[in-house]
Amino acid sequence: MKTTSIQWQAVINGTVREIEIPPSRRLLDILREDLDLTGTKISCEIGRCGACMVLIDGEPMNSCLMMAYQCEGTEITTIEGLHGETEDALHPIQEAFLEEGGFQCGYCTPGMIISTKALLDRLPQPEEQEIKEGLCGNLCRCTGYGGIMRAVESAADKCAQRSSLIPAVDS
Amino acid sequence: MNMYQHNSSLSTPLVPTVWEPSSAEEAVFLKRQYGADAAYIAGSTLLRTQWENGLLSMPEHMIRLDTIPGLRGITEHKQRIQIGALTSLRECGKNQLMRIHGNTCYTACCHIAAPSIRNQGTIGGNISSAVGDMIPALLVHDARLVWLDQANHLAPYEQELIDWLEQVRLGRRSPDAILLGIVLDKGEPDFVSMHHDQEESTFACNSFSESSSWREVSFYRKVGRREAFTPSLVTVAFRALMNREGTLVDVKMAAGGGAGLAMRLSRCEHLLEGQVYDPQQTATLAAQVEEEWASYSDPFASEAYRRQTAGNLLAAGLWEILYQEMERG
Amino acid sequence: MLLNRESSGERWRKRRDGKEKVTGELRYLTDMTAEGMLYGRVLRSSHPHAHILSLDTSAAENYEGVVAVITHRDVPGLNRFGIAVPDQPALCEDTVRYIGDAIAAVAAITPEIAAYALSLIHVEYEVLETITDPLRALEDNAPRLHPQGNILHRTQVKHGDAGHALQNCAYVVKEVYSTPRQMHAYMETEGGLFIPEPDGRLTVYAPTQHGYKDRMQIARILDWEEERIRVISSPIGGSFGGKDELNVQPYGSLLALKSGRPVKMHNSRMESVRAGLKRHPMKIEMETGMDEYGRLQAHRVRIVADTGAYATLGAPVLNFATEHCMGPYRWEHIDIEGVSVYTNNGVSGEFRGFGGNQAIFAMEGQMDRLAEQIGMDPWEFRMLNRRYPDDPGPLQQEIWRTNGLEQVMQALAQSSLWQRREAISVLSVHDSLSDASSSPPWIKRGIGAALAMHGAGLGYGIDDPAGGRLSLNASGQIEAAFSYEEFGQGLITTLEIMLIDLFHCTGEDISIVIGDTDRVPHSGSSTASRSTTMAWMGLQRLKSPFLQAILQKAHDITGIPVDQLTTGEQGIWQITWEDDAEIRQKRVVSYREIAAAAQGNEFVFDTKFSYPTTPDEVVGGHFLYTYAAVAAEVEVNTLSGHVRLLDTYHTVAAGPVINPMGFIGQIEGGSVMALGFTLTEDAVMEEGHYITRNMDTYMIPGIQDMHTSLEVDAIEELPDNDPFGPRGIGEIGSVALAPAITAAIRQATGTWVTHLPVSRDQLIRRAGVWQQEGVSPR
Repeated sequence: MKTTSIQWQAVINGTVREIEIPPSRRLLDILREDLDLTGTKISCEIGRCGACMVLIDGEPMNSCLMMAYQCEGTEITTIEGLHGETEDALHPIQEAFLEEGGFQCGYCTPGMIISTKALLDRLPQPEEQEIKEGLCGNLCRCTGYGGIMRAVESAADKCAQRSSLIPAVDS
Repeated sequence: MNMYQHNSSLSTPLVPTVWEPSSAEEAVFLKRQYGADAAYIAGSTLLRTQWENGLLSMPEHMIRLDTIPGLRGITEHKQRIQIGALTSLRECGKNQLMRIHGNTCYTACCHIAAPSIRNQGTIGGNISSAVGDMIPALLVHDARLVWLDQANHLAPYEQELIDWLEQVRLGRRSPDAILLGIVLDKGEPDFVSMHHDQEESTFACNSFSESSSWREVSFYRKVGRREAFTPSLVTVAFRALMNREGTLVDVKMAAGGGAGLAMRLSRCEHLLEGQVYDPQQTATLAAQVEEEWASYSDPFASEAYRRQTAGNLLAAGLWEILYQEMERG
Repeated sequence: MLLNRESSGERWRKRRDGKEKVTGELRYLTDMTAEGMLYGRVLRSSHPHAHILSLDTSAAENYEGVVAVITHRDVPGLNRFGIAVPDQPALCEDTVRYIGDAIAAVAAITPEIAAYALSLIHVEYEVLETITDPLRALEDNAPRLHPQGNILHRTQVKHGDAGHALQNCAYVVKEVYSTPRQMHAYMETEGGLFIPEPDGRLTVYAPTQHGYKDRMQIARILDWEEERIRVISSPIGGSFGGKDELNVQPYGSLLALKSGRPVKMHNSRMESVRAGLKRHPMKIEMETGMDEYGRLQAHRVRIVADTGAYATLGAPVLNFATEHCMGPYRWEHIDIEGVSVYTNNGVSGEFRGFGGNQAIFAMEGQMDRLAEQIGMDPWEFRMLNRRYPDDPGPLQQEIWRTNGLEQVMQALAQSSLWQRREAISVLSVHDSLSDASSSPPWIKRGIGAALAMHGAGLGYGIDDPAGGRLSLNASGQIEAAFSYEEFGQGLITTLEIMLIDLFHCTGEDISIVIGDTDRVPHSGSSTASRSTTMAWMGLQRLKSPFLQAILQKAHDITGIPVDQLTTGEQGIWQITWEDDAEIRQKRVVSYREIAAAAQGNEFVFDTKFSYPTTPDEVVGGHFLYTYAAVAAEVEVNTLSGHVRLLDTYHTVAAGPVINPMGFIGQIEGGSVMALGFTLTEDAVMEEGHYITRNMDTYMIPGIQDMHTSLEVDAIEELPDNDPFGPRGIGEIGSVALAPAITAAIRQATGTWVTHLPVSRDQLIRRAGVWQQEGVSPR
């Protein structure tokens, strides 16, 4: 079977999106050009900087490396899909980046926050080395990473506090 | 020398056709039909880099491999494990079979590129590049590759990785062959599989079991241009069996890195084979590696540097195994 | 004070532009789109040096979907740009001088068609000799890259008789240092949106560090009145000097006007690498002598800077390097010559540190070598030779007196990192600091330190205007407007904090307008560590007339005497006094009510002044300096020669800290950028072509490369009556780490490093060596 154009469908930030596009179109272009979701940034276009990081079925992926057919039918979360308890509220990770100075120009920030989300979902209380491992695919040229490290540590604490507020189901 | 090529890299702004073969045979057929205008696509992480950097032009025909059933996952058989070529590096880096039967490969998988790349990149892609960081690790495990090719009448066949690398070196690599999987032999039943992580992330070494006199010792080391997410300058792997007296047998050593093809270091292996390793041999071993490994120079590292580093890493790795052995008493 | 969130108290303030950055809502200028927009692409030269024999764009013009194609024939005004010297063709006529040179540009309905159309443009070249080495460029028989030859600029500083003095010195160190072609590597590549407006104007949405300068340059190219162009230039996804010069603006503007439609430009990373500025690679030869007591006597320096194909700010960068290659030290005899040379290697230009990074690396390297030669502690040696507060500046010019140098030197000497070094300095140089039981024998550690005296502002003789506007706007906000730009450094929040300090109001009472030539007054560029000082001085000047006016109006409305009124949250408050303590009683009138009562521009105040300069006629000489001292601990793995930065201490004397989060960010960020300069970064060129064309081969530090610990120690005291307020710190974090690291490498391994990035070949040791040292498995 061959295709030059597909009716591409994915759940993006909780909403089903369907568009007709070439199957080789990059997810990065789908997001930024076709869907006007410009929070996902474009920088190196070869997966080396992480500015275009999104979650695909919960896993961090570089949307510049991802072709449409490779993520068809998946659940995609971009920075626009991240929020706190209400849609207007900040996610604890976003709060932590804001409070700790985890960014300057902000261009790497959406990708950095997405990678942090993936990291904390997997390891709620990461060690320093685990944070560095989790974020080694995201480059930042402004902060020197000090503020980012502090932000991720603080985000882990915030997330832990939030989840401890939710009563456990049993025991 | 690399030239910028605006005048030739694009034929027309047409979009590629994406093919979705339902079998490997169909994929090979498509590849033969379109030749150089077609490319197999697995994770596409390396291909995308090459397209964007203008090193390759985007093919007119993309042949998906992910629509072929059975190319994903790691399965255990009586005497071997088989790794589907489309298994992601991340899956490989989480897999216990891999950890037990391909320990240096397992370590390599955990440290190639960055987490997001490992989510998308496949082990088959890493091997097909011929310069992937997995290759030195696979070499010391005597990995075999399973191919499907017209030349073999579309019947899957196995080939030693080392033989395939030789084909690549001679420019005789089959352009149409599809890598279906990788086969690793399980170890001898009388040696063990107790594994534990060392402090240093790129170092792994197995330990004795009470019931066994031989155990596997192995390590994998990569030196890049920065701490992480970096192209390799030098990658080495080591694997051998060692008894309580420190005698080494079945020694396997390999070195690779950068754009150079990895190779086994058979003279170094011979130097250690059947010997009780003496720490005084460190310098000799390093010098032997330096002499045996044919590397290359580029703007980022000289050949002399690569050779010396490979020698140092292998000698020091072995030294560390013995050191820990003695610490352990 | 060690600066961190805890020690900053209430001054630790969330960035005003932060929420939209962490949510991804912020539209950078390269995120913008417009109805009917076209995509612009530039055809750049295939060769680093060639004559253009013919240029045929007809096939591209006729291709469906292409709306406009431009060449040099479409440039109505001056077909040149360059902040200082306009010598770079917007679109080349007959000669190309580097592989980023633009020959034509296309606007098409899709990016794919635009890219394809470039391949339809046929250029015939006559390839000329590529000058890759500045020394070749200086030879008589070298091809001339520009009508005046291959020398962009020369500098010279001489006093005393260095040649003679060096012969009589008890000790002399001679060394040649060289530094890499570092890339800014801002995450957002160059780009923007260019809109021809119905009223005949042009709106340019494109990042730059000086909107008005871009407006002038674009107007010069278009042959337009400047006022017909509106430049919107912030927010910016990083710049570091790299977006100070024009990049895509000429093409976007010309294509938009030719097509009559909005045009979007956005460089790919590869194009950014190919066309963009880099830091000047420099070769600095130094011969430095001292007497038998370790007192510096004579210093002979020769600087050769590779400025690439075009001038941009190459000349001022060389001036700065010349001024900074004498360090904060006392000299009897000085003999310095610098030359900045045109080659066919890219274009070198403005970059954080501005030539200081290279000069300080060399100067501090000399200091460490001299100290070792005479057997002195390197810091004591610097102490012995430091300049005195009343000494003239490096160029013998009058400078503003502070105790900054003394303060940073003391602070570093007392830092725990440096004291750790002192404690082990009884060990021989080659002894490793590491605890043998925890590290294998091939790991060597060392600690080093370096000093920097860094000038701010553009320097004497260069137009360095400042100014600003303070007003109460129609919606009742205190509005500050400056032509400074926000590229991440935290300018907006710094301004907010300054305004809150001045008026005791809240963030909501404030409006900050920057980066829009239609809405801000001329206040100069956001470069040279100048904007914090300029904004502070501007607001100091504007505060009194502004307060007077609005308090008078508040009095008119409320009848309360002016001396009982003050500004505060949401409006004017009445105050009373009790035991000399001011008590805020209540708000008596809101800002909004005052604004509503305004007549004309009653509450709009402008100021104009210049960045403070030395009274002495020394071109490029600075008046205000900041000081920094840096200590670094490194670990060298001698198996591979790999160097890791472990611990860093950074003290800066730059006056009061207005915005501590921004301050820490600038020092930490500058420091890690300097780490890249020292260890991993180099835009490698071969025969005029880049080998490192993207982030897969050009290695900026990642999170794994950062130090484990970095202390930022801010020294805030200034002399009494200092009228200049907080000094800029955008650059000083990046200038002194390299020599501290190389000093630490010396202590760890016994190897002196003269070339950056540090070559691992130099630090690798044979495996046998640690055996021979007697270390073996126990």
